[in-house]
Amino acid sequence: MNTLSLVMRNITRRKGRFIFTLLGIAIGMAAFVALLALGGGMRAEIRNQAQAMGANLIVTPTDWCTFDQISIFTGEPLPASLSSEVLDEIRDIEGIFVAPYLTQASAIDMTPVAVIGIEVETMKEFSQWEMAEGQYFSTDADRSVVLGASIANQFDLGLGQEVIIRGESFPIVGVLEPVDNLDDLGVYLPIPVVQEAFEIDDNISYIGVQVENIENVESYRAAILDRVNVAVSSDEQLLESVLAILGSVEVTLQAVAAISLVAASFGIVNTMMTAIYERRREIGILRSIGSKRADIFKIFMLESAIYGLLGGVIGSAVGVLVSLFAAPTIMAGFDQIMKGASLEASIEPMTIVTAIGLSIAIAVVAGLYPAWKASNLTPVEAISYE
Amino acid sequence: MKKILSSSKLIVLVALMLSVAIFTFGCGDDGFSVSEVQHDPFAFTGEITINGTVASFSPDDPNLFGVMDTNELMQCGRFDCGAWIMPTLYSGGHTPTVSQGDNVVLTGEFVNIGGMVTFQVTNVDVGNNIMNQIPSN
Repeated sequence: MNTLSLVMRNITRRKGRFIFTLLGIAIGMAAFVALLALGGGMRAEIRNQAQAMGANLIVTPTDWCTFDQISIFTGEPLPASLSSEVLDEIRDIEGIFVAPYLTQASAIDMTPVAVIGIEVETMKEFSQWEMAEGQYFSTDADRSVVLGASIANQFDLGLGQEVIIRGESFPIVGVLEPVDNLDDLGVYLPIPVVQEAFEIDDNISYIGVQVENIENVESYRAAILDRVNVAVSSDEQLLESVLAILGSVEVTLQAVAAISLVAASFGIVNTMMTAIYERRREIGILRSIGSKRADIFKIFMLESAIYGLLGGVIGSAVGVLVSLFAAPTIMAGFDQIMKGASLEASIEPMTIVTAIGLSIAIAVVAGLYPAWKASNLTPVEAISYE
Repeated sequence: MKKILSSSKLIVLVALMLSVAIFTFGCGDDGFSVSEVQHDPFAFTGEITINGTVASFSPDDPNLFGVMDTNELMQCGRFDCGAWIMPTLYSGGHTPTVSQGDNVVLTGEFVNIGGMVTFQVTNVDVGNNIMNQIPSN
């Protein structure tokens, strides 16, 4: 009987203990892998949403807190405190194309929806929308709505029907083609109509800016700041703000998963210590027939490593499956944060390899003390134990 | 005997999984947040549930207090950052015992009182107080 088969026989001698110890590691590892996969997917989708916006610079009021800035990507309604004068000043700068947004909210069938005021002609060019049904607005005075594809689908709305906003009915004149981003979840009206409905003065929420020459984006930013007292962020800066928040959440969740792995490692210590007491005679016999302390140490370390390997493999497989099948359920929550987003798990092969390696490492560390204890048993001590 | 032992292990495993599932998915729904209803309150008709954080009190009416969106409060770090404070009027009989910073779940409906949009509540569930968690505190 070679060492490996001896180890496997010892591990599986008590099947119940083997299964529960393995489960401890596997569950911790499954949580770790699932969080990594879903976190990667969220990051990829946030980047996708940011790129879909099409703006190189975002102009916001100076008194916005981070919550407001991030709400640009999450589809939440925003304060309207940028005046039309500010918009006109920025529009005068050469080499840029500006699109103002006025974001508010209402409800359809008791479900909150985003109401977005847009500049009719500007938005058509800025976002390159195409109509799935009906027609686009004719002028900024049109008292009608155009729906994003998901809104129309979710509430089964279409041409000839109406949407009630702030007590006033607005006929639906068009439905946009789906674009798989935030634009799918908007109820769009011309800015002046939204300003009147929500009793907002001649203000907007923020301005998206496209620049002619992306290499000179900093000079355009400086030009805007020279003219008006606003905050100007690049889309990359806003993206980093969102990712920073996501990152801190990810770290917290991964810390929780790591703590569960540490707890599972104590399970391995407990299992191995129990095994030492049960197998004292066996250890004594092995020592007395010529096995060295190093051999005993190796046997117990190998048992720990196998717990880590099996737990890591099983846990990684379960984690991948959880992230694949749970992504749609979790997306329901992610969709509340990042409206219009779709979440897919992002599973890198290196993630799995790292996870299994981590599992083995934790198990090996957990096995150090028991292996040392076992190897320090003298043959006399071990055999005479009853 | 072996079969019974296997069944007991199975029962333990199933109980563990059920506990995790209940813990994860069994938490109740606390309704709408303040930010979800603030822009078009009357689009939410009939009795609804809103969750938020108590921000202020009327000096004239002990049943009238202001509730702020909890997420907005945590992000902005103070009660006076310009966020909408939802006027809330308790009409349930006895004045509720709430303090600034209390997380609350309110059941009621939006009404127009003297030209002011007010959330008239019949039930207030008071949760934990988050004054110590607000960043600026």
